[in-house]
Amino acid sequence: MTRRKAAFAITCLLLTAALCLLVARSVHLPGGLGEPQYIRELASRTGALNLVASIYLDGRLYDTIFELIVFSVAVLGVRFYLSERRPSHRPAPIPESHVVRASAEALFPFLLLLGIYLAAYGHLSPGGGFAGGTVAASGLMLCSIAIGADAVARRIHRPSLERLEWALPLTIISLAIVPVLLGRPPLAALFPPRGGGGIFSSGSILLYNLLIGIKVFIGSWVVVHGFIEHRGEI
Amino acid sequence: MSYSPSGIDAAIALLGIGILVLALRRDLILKLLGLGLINSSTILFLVSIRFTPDAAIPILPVRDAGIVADPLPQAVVLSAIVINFAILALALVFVMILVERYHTTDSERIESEVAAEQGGEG
Amino acid sequence: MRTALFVLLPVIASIALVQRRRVAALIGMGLLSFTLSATYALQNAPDVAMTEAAIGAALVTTIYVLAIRRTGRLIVVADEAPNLLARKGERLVGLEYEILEGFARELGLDLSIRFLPREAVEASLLAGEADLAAGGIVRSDDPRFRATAGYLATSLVRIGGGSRGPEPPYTGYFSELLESIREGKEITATLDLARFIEAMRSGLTGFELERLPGEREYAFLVSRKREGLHAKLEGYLRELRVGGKLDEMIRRNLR
Repeated sequence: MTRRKAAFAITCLLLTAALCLLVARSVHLPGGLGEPQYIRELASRTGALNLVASIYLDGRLYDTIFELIVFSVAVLGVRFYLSERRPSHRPAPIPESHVVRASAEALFPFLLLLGIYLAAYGHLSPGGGFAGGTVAASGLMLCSIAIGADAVARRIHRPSLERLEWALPLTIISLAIVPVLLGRPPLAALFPPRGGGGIFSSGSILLYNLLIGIKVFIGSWVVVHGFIEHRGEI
Repeated sequence: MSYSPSGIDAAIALLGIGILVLALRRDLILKLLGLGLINSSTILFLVSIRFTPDAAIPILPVRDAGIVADPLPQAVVLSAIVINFAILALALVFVMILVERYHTTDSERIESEVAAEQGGEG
Repeated sequence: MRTALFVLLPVIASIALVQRRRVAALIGMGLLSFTLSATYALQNAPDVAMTEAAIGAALVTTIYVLAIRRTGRLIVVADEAPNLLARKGERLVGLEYEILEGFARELGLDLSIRFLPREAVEASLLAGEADLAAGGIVRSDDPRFRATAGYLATSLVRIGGGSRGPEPPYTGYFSELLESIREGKEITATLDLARFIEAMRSGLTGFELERLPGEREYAFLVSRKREGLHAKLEGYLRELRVGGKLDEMIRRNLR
């Protein structure tokens, strides 16, 4: 290691140790959040039992919409840069053992269902659209390990997938604008909260969760499929 | 005084390790892993800042109406995790393009070859 | 429990990222992701824990594995030929080695050289176990293969009398042949120039030597079915010749 690198490493370590021992002790966020009154307020705003969901899908919906846009653009970038370079030859798909295929067959519907459940019940229990979409995408990935990404891609109607991929963020954005047409402030909840802890109790949080879940599912699958096409079967 | 490590310490330690890896390892893929580590350390920091032991999870119904864990940092961090993955995939695509062009993952070799190319043109 | 996890996190991170192999580092980071997920769960953040577990374990690891793996190998079967393709300790050196390495790099593949006894080289190529055959093969009109254009002139020397038929130039490994020469045993072989010089150095005396007439050339063999590969290799050799790099490599390897 050159002397410059060693000096950098030592400085880094010393700074980290200093931060840990001296500064971090006194980090203190102002109170007022997490106290029972705030929680009660949050709970009664929307009918959602999951307070985290009621923050990022109702109070801070604006941020979530933009984060979704960032995700879409990143996926678009991945697909664009990968499509420019097609490898000249691709290794043949790897025939998987029966164990993998059988377990994929058994697990895939379960994973898909788990993803849908996490997204749909995101306002009642931990989970939400992001976790649900990811779990469903890993189910699809398990399938592509078992039978090959080509076979999986053939079963998916590609143009509908691409249309859906961009229809979803547009839907979400327009959902944010629709309340304006109805005379309410933008980003307000479309369906009034009903309370009671049922599935329809939280109004539009359910809708947003499902849309986000589908978007994350499609986006992750596009990324993984692009990588597999580019680098060979896994 | 007794020192009991908290999540904040772990987060800063991970940050330090991530920066070290990013700067000192030569392999591009390992540099990206270090970058991912820095991402994770930020998320850990945000979650640990509002951590109080024996708090309830922010899902109703809350038992005993005691202290509930603060849902705000958790909400902020939730979508950040998924976006980190998407941006990491994009960075990995760029790394793959570089590797295919220069046939090496060694960052110093790539730098010298790029410098040679530009020195030749300029 | 929480304290243990907090202490464990930097430890796992350090162990994961000082590994030499990329796959080991990747697995370590997957482990770190799981530990982080446990930490979030114990810090009363169930949503975050679930999302981190789903992303860190399945998706991130998959993407890295796909990015790390090599896309393919160029498999070459050969027998050792001094100055052309030889082992020097752990490394491989030689004119053919440099040509093949440049070719593999241009194709974006990894070069993988397998050393076989001389008579097995062509059989292996026929059986489809390899992409190319190399190692000081002299160009002939064998209809079973496509030979590239010659890249270096050579000549053949027959040792031990007898007529050169369609059988392989010699049997076994070339190093074994050298051993037999040093021990003074009787051998029959048809050696190309590079091997002949090496054999002379090992004390080839008292044998009947006959220089076979005609101009020969060294070449690579490709199986009949791989037309594309043959065309690419021809193109690569032509590039080397035109650019003068081939002469440079010849000068470097054969003094």
